Amino acid sequence: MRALDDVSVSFEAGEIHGVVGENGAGKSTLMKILGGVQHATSGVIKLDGRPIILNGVRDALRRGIAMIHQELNLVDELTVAENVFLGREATKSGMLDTAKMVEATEAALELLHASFPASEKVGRLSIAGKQLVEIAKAIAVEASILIMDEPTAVLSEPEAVSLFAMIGRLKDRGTTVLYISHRLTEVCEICDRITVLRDGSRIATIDAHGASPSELARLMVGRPIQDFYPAKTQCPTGKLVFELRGFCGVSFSVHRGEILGLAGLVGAGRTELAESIIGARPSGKGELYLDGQLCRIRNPKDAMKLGIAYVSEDRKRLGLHVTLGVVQNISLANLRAYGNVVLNSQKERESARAWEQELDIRAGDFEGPIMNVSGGNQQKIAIAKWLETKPKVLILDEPTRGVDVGAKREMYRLIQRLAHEGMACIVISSELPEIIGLCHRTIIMRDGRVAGELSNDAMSEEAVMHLAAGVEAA
Amino acid sequence: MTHSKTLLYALLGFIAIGISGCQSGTGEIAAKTGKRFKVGVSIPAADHGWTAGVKYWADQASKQNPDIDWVIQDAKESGEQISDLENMQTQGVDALVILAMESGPLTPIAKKLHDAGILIINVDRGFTEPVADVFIEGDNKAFGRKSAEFMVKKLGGKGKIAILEGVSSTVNSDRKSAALEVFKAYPGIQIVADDSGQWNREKAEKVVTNMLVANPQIDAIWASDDDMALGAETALKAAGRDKNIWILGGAGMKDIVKRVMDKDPLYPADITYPPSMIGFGIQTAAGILHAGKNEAKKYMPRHVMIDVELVTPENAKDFYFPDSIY
Amino acid sequence: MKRANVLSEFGALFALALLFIINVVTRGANFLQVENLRNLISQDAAVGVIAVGMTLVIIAGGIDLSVGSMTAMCGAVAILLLNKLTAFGAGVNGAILLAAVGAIVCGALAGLFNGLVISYGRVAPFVVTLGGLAGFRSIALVLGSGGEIRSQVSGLQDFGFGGIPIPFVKNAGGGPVLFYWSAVIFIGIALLAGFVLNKTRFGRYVIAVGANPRASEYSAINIQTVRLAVYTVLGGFVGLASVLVAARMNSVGTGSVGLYYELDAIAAVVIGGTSLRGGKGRIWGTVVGVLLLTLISNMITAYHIDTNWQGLVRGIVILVAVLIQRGRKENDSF
Repeated sequence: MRALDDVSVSFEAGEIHGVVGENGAGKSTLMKILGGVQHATSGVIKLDGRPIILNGVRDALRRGIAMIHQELNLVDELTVAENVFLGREATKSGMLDTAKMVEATEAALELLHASFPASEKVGRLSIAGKQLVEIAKAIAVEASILIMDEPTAVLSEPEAVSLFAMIGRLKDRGTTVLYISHRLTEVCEICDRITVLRDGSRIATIDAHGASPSELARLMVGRPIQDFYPAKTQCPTGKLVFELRGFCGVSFSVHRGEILGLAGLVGAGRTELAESIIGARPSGKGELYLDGQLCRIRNPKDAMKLGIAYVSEDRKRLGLHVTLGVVQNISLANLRAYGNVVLNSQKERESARAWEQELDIRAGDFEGPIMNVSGGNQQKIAIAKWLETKPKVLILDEPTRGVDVGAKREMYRLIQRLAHEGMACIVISSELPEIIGLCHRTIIMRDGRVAGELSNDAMSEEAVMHLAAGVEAA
Repeated sequence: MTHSKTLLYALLGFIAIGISGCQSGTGEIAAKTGKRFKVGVSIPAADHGWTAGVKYWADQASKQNPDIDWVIQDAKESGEQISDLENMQTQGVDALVILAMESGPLTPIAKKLHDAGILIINVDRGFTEPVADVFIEGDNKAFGRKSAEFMVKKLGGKGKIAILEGVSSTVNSDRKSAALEVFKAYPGIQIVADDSGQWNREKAEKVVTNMLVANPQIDAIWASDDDMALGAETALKAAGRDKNIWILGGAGMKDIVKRVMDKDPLYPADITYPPSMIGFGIQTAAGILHAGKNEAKKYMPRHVMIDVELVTPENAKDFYFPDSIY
Repeated sequence: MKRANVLSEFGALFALALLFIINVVTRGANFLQVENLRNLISQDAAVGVIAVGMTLVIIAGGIDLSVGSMTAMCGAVAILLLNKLTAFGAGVNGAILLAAVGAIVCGALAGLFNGLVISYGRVAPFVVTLGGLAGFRSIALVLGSGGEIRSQVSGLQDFGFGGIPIPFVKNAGGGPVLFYWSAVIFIGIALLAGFVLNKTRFGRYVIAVGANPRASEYSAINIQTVRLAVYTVLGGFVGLASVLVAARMNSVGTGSVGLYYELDAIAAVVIGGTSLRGGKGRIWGTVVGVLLLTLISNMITAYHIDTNWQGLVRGIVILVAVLIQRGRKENDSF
């Protein structure tokens, strides 16, 4: 099966070129070929008009093509300068020329307006900082083409703004930036041109000025996308299912059938709160009430028994067992239902098939490890796992991160359906449009505390940002 | 990917073929025909001079009986030796010459093999039950007694002695108990230290070093074995205490015998305990098989004890074999 | 791609079959004797039982270096118990059974100790069990005063060399050829462990905890309990293995029994295809690994090769096994 079929694109010097497409459309394959990781089976890559063959990442780097992956390849124990020059250390008569490396790194960091020195240990930096180090690597090698894969996925709003400014500066220097992202609004904002891929082919390359996210979405999916977010029901005011009183310094409540958004900047403490709720993190003082009863949750097992489920943000590391199969993953939190001692694998399999149908999980090889299943489908597997436990409260942490447009839409419909059937859903998200489009009500957190609460009508991007950042929106 | 796998399988295949190619020419494949006898010789791995001597003499003696198929195997520990014996049984041996690593662990398998009709010749380290057809050992009690008597005489009935014993076995316990019996009879003799060197040079060195630290005054060391004696000597030299002290080893290592001959103050005497007794065991096995087990049983002694001799500067030249391996 | 995966999945089995065939071809009827084939299974049965338990621990993400010393300690306990019980007038079979139970309990307690320090004390398994390696040996030596502890009950060695008569075969003396109890126990334990690993809830948790401990924690699994349990189970298996060893020798050399068992067990596990990183593995692979190592010993004796080569041969086999199995959808060495 071909990932890419006859794709022809040309990138101009000094342009910011967006690349969008659903998962499986061929974006990553295209980028891997351009980055030197994979070979194209046919066709030609031309650099400055001359055909070239790339033999691996190092070769690509030598020619000035650098790729910034979503998963950062940095060594925490080493300094920024050491990481930037990892594998290409400068030497003077056999010994490391530290001065030269530090100087080059400082120059790159300055260009990026980084707030840390070249001597800082990478482990100490925030994710945004680490990303800057990756970019510094590319600058230090004087890359003329920078391929960035979902760069804002782990950044907060102000950090993303900073990144865009830096990309602008790179553009002014003549660097070409290929910008891959699922965040269509962003892509429209910062790119000069945008290429849309669908099913391995290039569908269109359009001028970004004047393009709209919905137009992009339409091109990506191949049909008009109406109702990206499902129509919201009325804000439920029924039974209070879940309540926090001073729990980790936070208080709020959720009604039966409600979708409560939990917004805030990265570092606001939402994931930490969720982890404390389910007992994966010590919680300190405060109380948690479920259906009006005070509950003590000391570990995730307690939480599961009480009916609180948490679908974690880091799905590959915390949410799923990627070396195990679909069946084993789905049944894991509820394994007792399949046998106290001996497991009924037939029943397990049937159950997994049922979820496959219900949530439209596309897993390719059903028996094999779910490592290679797409982000969206992995997310569905994780949700299936927790739905197995028949929770009363479902906490979803960044449920659509790394998930393509089509799957996102399905996810929103699913959450809505669950809420409709009576589940209380708490959605933690950093995507404001998502919060506003999906949730009945939103709690905004800042620095570990509740900064405010907004109801349906009052929710707007500015209002949320205002409370999240504690400043007036720009 | 597949290329490297083929390569690896080929490598594995070569190893296997290489192993099978290393057969010695003793016709392993030939099944027991009734005319040609097969005898297994199971001995400990050569971890010190004496056991190296055993291996050497086993090879020599078996070469002198080319009409018998010899399977000589050495083992590093008891479990392995038991497996070796089981394997020899499946190869259809008529007799086994066994020098056990440890007396206790090897007794059950010896009994079993004996009950299965295999002739068992036990050499040196005895089994804990009399399961062998012939048990050949050196007179370990005489070993202990003669060495202790020499030491007492040289010390004039008074002195501080350190005891260095070997691996747990009948050999060791016989020697030690006989020596202690002699020492006990002299109230002027004090045993200031008692530990095991496991018949090993390095171990003995460590043990003696500790003994020296714990005891500021030692007059003589009953080392019961020449390998251990050498280890003790190293410890003494390292501690600077090799004057006014002497060692009595045992087993007749040619280097030690030479030093006795040369009147080295550190080695005034030695006791013989020849590793070539394995050769005697092998000859016995060959002899019994040729004569026919039932016939031989009529006159073969069940227990053969080889006397040991005290080696002194006067008679050392009789016990010095410079060409010997031990 | 598929073909490569089949080779690497079953690599150890192919190697075993290959060596087996070579033996049949070069040694003929001698090799195929029922006694010899039986010996292949029974000679390393004790290490085999330990290796099976070790597979579970390794799959759960841990390791245990103390099993050899534990064997000496449990074996010492078994024989001391046996002698004491018989002295008090217990019947032979009853005494042996109780002594075996005592050894198993002793092992389970030792394993429990390891497990507690590892899961609740949060000390790395390598370190804890390294301490056990030294500590348990020391306890064994104390129990045996540095030497052998001999059983005063000959019934023990009858058990050691007793077993189920194999039908249709007679040995050279006309008597039955026995399938030793040690071989029976080895196979039984392997089947049991395989069943537990693949078909029980506990087995699933073992795999999950080894594959991803944090995700397992978040999935409402009590990872401390799972870890504690596998070490305890391994300890129990070691206790059982020590009884097999004691029966074969009718004694336990407290300084010499169990030496390098941990390395042999781990080697068998690795050869069998279980990854030292944890999270995946198979019991049948370990059994193949044990048989492979025993076959190599068997060949070294049969071809009159100096035993000193054995270590090198084993080392090569381990390397080859690991390299072959590298193709299995993991890109780390382990």
